[in-house]
Amino acid sequence: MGHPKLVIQNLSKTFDKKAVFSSLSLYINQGEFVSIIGPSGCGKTTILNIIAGLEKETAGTVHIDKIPGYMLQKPLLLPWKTTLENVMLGLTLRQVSEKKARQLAYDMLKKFKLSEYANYYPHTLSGGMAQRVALLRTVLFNNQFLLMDEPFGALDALTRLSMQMWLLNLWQTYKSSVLFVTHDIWEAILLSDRIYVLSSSPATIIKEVNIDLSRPRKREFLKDKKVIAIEESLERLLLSIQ
Amino acid sequence: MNLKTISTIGPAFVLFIALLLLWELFVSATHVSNQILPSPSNILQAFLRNWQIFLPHIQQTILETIIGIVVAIVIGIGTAVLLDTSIFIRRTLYPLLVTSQTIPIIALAPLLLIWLGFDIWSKVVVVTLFCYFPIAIAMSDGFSRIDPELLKLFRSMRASYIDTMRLLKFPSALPAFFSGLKIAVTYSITGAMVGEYVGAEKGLGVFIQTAANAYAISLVFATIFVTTFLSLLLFAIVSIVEKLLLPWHRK
Ligand SMILES: Nc1ncnc2c1ncn2[C@@H]1O[C@H](COP(=O)(O)OP(=O)(O)OP(=O)(O)O)[C@@H](O)[C@H]1O
Ligand SMILES: [Mg+2]
Repeated sequence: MGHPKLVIQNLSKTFDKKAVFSSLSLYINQGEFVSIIGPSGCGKTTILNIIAGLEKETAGTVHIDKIPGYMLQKPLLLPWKTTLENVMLGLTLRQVSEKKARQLAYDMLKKFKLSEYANYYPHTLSGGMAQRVALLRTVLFNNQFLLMDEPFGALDALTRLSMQMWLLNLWQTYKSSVLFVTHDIWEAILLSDRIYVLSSSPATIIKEVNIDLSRPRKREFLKDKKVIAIEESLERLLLSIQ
Repeated sequence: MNLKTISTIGPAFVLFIALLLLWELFVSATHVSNQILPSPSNILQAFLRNWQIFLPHIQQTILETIIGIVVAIVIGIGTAVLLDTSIFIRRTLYPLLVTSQTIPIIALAPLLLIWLGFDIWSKVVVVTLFCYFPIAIAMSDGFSRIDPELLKLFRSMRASYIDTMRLLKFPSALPAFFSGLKIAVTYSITGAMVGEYVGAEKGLGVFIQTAANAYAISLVFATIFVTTFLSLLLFAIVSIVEKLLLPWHRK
């Protein structure tokens, strides 16, 4: 597996004297897909913000090798830029030349079969399509390490399912390491190699679950007895701490 | 002009014509004197007869107005950028900026005349004073209304200050900037005339005074119409530029 992509040790965060979480330790191996689930307000977004360097930890250490790509729940596409220009944003901000950035962004759109949308403006895209474009923008910024904060939370069930499969395909293409935050237990099981469960605030890790399902994942797996058992135990756990 | 634009400005245009007609009818029915209330046709004739005398005054006022607006845009945007740099600066300057607006500009105009003299600059400054505030405030509000999640996205990609301004804040604030500018330009011609009123050699403000002193009432009215027309024209130009620059904003 090589050395881990992310190592967090004894991480704590306090807002206005109120401890959000304390002494969290977790890691992500190279190419691993890891999810975090936990009740609302337990600090999941705050963890991602600290990893992305947007907030300062109160105590503890975070080890990463490169600034991760960070994807949020909203697509956050710039309405005055086309799909192509939005996808190249990360490169533009890294001062990559316009011509080269365009080329790389176009190759990326082509690879994931979105090149026909290259010159569309965001307001003409559906919610799912906009989120795909946002994902490609994130991946073009850093395809090795992605933070995702409930990226499919605002989508309808069918779009969500096709997005999940699309994400897995993308993840396998780049062998990325992913830290994925979700409220949806089924989603966590379908996507992840490992799941961390957080308690309510002040949060700690109360469970770590390995999902030993073969890759590539298929939707039918969710009907598997073993999977249903995992889902039920996680659901019971989450209900008990709320 | 397509059907849609006609249908949007059509009703207002019809109302405008109807009011003029009503005015015309009122004047001819009541036989009110030309020296008190000239009819629209009378005003138009007066304008056409004298338009060569009008022209240099119109040009002067337009020149002052344009320079004044450009200066106001530069300083207004500069102020908005400054207010955006930190919450502390914003808290310190914003109330001051609002307070400064309660100073009657008309009272400043004589001072400006003393400081800057009779030529164009005292009027340019009056126009700038009229136009600066709506531009600065609108742009500043545009900056502060940017989705914090978008700022978070930019920070997560380690965007520099210049890039955040150039790629996110300026384009986001453009619609607000244009609404401020539209308000500003409708004041601007009036601003120039206020400056001219206080003391100038040329300009519509001077012309309207001369006309009033000579009891040339139809020329006074003609000047009012010219002023209104110029203000609307400026408004239309800004609206067109806005449409061209912000195609994504047309829903
Ligand atoms: N900048 C801040 N200042 C003060 N308190 C904050 C700040 N950011 C977050 N918090 C608080 O920290 C706690 C954790 O917030 P966070 O957004 O990380 O939770 P979350 O697990 O992502 O919740 P959700 O599932 O609803 O997205 C909340 O109680 C929140 O109110
Ligand atoms: Mg959150």
